[in-house]
Amino acid sequence: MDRHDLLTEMRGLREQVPGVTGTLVAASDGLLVAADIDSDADSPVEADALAAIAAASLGVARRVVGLAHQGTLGRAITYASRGHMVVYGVGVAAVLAVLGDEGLDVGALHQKSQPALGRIRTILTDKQGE
Amino acid sequence: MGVPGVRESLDLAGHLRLKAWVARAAAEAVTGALRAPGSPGGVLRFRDGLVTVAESAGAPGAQALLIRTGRVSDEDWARDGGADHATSTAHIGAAHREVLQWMANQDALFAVLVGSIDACVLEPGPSVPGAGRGQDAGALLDAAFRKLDALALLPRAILPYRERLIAPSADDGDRTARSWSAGMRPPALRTAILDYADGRRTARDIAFVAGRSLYPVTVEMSRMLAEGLLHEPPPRIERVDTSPVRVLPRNPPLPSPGSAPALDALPGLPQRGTAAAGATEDPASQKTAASWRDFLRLGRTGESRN
Repeated sequence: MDRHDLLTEMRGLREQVPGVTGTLVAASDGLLVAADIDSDADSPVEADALAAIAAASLGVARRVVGLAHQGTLGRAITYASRGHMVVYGVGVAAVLAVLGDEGLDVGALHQKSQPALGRIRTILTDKQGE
Repeated sequence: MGVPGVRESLDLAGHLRLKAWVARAAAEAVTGALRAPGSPGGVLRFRDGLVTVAESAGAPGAQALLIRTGRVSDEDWARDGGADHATSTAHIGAAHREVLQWMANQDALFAVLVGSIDACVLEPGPSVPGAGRGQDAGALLDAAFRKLDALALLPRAILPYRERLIAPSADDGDRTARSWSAGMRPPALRTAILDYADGRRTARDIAFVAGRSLYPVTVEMSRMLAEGLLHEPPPRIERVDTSPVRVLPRNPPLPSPGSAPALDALPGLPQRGTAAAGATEDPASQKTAASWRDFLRLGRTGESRN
């Protein structure tokens, strides 16, 4: 497993779920691992900054769930006038952030993301053959 | 042997199913929702058998069109409580709002028909609050089928969720210039398409980002493909980067009792000079840092321990 496999999984989500405009994987301390994001000259997306914020947001969401005694966090969703961001934990040391436009099919995303999260977790934990 | 055309790609069984359920909802004067899960699928919301709102992940709704074209500002949307449906007429007139919803309803049905329809489920329930007069469901469906037929007749018809076309590069600028007479501006829709066609976006994606209805964007892109103004991106030949992506160590060393290893001491984790907020604020990562082997035994993602 390697970076190519990781990007293949990330692109797969964009191609399978209507409305996904990009994905990124970050370590839980906010460092960017990989990004596949639509970005235009008039609306550039800074993947490094987004990775840091997405990781922090999941950390905050987990704390909220813990303080409110609401069990285990599933995913954290941001809903805005022009799109969504959905952040999932990949284990506890990485996050997957999915960006989408207003038409993002959140239900379809949740369905397709579960097996993808498992495969991404495998990619991130797999040791390269020596 | 090529890419299947529009006609070959249509879900005819799904169409029949949807027609039957729409007819039933109209005949029974249903108030509630007819859900058509699929790819992209959609929902028709009824009041007394008339369609008030039709929605699909495949087409921008009335609200998205209003915001993306600047007729309603992002702040106005937030001030209205970030509603799911553009029912407020505070920023545009009621008549204008109704016409826009009717157009969006037609576009949503077109989006549903041009994709696949897995099932139809009728759910009686409340109507959309504040929605205007509804539309005849049968007439809406007929209009959507006519659009489908018109699209299928185009010589290089594309599907809104399949082709990811690309505009010519700067080197091909001459070809673009030849396509319109000197002194004429290209139509606004074509300009918008050329701005966003980057080989990553489908017609559906461009409709959303440009704030345009799905059907006209799909038709225009099909025409532009036939005219050579758009083309299929070349096959992606990747230089395969097989460098390991080691974020999560498989066999991390056990820390000495009573200590938590520094994150940068764990093999493979991206290095950072100072700890980031995400690491210090996440109680789960703090606990897990004390026992990385426990991570490998975690059964679910995102599991935290109190």
